[in-house]
Amino acid sequence: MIDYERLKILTESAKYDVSCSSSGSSRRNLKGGIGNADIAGICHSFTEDGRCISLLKILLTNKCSYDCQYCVNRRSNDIERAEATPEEICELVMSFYRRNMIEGLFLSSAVDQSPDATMEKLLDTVIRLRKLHRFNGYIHLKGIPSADKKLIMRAGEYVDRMSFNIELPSERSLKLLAPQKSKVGIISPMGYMASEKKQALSVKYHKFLPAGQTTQMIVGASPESDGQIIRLTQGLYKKFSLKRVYFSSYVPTNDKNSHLPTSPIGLLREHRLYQVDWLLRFYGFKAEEILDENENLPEGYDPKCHWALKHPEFFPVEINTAPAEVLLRVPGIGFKGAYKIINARRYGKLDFLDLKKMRIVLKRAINFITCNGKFFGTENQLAVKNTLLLTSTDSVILSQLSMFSNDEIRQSVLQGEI
Amino acid sequence: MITFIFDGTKMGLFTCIFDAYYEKRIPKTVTDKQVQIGFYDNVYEIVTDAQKAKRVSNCLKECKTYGVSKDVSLALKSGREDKYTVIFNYLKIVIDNKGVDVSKNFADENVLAFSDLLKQITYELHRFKGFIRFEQSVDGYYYAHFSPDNDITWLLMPHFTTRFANQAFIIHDVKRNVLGMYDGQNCEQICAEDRQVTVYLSDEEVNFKKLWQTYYKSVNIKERKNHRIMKNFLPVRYWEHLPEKQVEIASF
Repeated sequence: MIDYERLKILTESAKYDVSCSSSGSSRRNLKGGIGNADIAGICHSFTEDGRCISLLKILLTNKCSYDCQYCVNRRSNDIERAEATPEEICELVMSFYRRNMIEGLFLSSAVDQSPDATMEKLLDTVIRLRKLHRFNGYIHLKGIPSADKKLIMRAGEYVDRMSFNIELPSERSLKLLAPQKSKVGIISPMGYMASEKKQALSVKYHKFLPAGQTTQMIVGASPESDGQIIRLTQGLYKKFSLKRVYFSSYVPTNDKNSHLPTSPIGLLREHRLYQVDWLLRFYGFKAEEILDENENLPEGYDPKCHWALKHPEFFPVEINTAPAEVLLRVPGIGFKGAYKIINARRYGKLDFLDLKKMRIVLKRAINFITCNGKFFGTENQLAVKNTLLLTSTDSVILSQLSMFSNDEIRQSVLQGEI
Repeated sequence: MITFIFDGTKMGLFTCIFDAYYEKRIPKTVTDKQVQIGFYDNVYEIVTDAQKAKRVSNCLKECKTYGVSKDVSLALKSGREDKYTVIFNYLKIVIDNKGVDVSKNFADENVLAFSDLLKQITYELHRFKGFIRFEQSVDGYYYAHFSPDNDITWLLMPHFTTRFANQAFIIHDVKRNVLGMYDGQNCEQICAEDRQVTVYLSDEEVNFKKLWQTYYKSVNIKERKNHRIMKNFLPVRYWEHLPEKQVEIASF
């Protein structure tokens, strides 16, 4: 069994990979085997930073021959190095899994020697788990850029999800900060995995990458604007039918490179980008609607509010007749709210009191909706904007507004007295 | 104020419905406990009657609302004090609107309250698919203790029996002293009442616990500390049974 020290090193080196979801696969347990996957995913614990633990996130080794400037594991960084054998990882996974501590494995590795050798070792671990330990739980495998196509494709037969990180939002930044990696090395495997999966599905073969592909990029380490990032995100969803694009706010791990910021950039930007991500995937928005190419997202309120403020002609929306996709565009009405409204209005006309009962955030929605033709909001754009600013539920922003220290003052701000 | 007291069973609840309609007496609260009686209160003790219950059950089958009986069984697993009243009010709406499926009329507070009650149970059920922690005993079977808000032990069993098909295990709800047992083939639910449950853990467990605590600590990113979200997702009341949180409880 692996010792505490190595477990610590290999986990600390793996933790900057954001993805920890275990959803999207409904792999079944086989006779004599152990484990299955839950289509909705299951979180097993939550760390102090509020992220969930669902998979055992670990590296095979953090001895890296690359020198990517943003990465803790870069060759030139002075940190403790360790490695684990495939069998050690398997043992750890099995003993954690039997105790229901994890949902499966998230395996990655630093590039020791060549990409092919590393990929081979990753594949070895995965096959061991599936064949030797008869493990049918969730496996998320990180692909090594520029590794042999055959190796990568073979892994797709055994794992639930695979991901290649595009790392930075533009090729220019990648060249600057990760000279040993190339855009082609990252993008091309994403491409052929996507087309292979499409082909597999067309003949009803569901065992190739059942939970699809994801990717991740670091924001705040390079100068790209939010507008560029969300266009790239949209493109990735369209082109490679990715399940998720993850953003990770850059945490300074390198003070020797003048291209990188030395202080943390905060989590708000990442949060806003995720909000856009949701708008793209579930709310029927297009990147072009939300932001211009060189614009950044506003900090004070969420991107949906931003869009709503720019499009007064779209509002107000009649609650009792508007279709679902229109309701979803109203600030304060999300998925759950729209679901309740659409169902409830079949039984009779809804008024504002009904909405309140259903826990719709009326404070935010009031300026954008009518109930039976009645409008109780204000059309004064400035007042609308202030309401949105003040009803934002994000703690980050509330702390920024702490100069309006109490509710009383907040109220007076609302009424335009300040 | 009219209060109904009954035995807490599904049949008993159906009898309450029958009596309420038959006697044209609609209770404000329905409970299975002896309550403090106020000066203006009228308390009726409802005696469970299989025949009355059967008639209500048949009536519910004729109602257009989908899956009422199943939903009520699930709702009865709730740990909330006011659950009987919530279910009673919902059943009344279902029966009063025989011709329509009322289950999604969220503008009605009683329907919404019932839907919330169900959601609390299914959400907790989902959570504990993840928060259950097994430890191996000297005899080789796996043992987990937890104290959920709702009585979900039996509902959790199918998930773990498919996942750990060849692994004997016990899930122990210490709050209600109820055990779900699986021997590798069959499931059984046992109510231990006031008997003590003793399990001797294997010596290796200490090591796994420490490995898990090490992992839990290492995977955290200090720069992103966010206690509020962590507590939202992992409520403090569950910590007692989670090995990764025991270090913190000790340091409180």
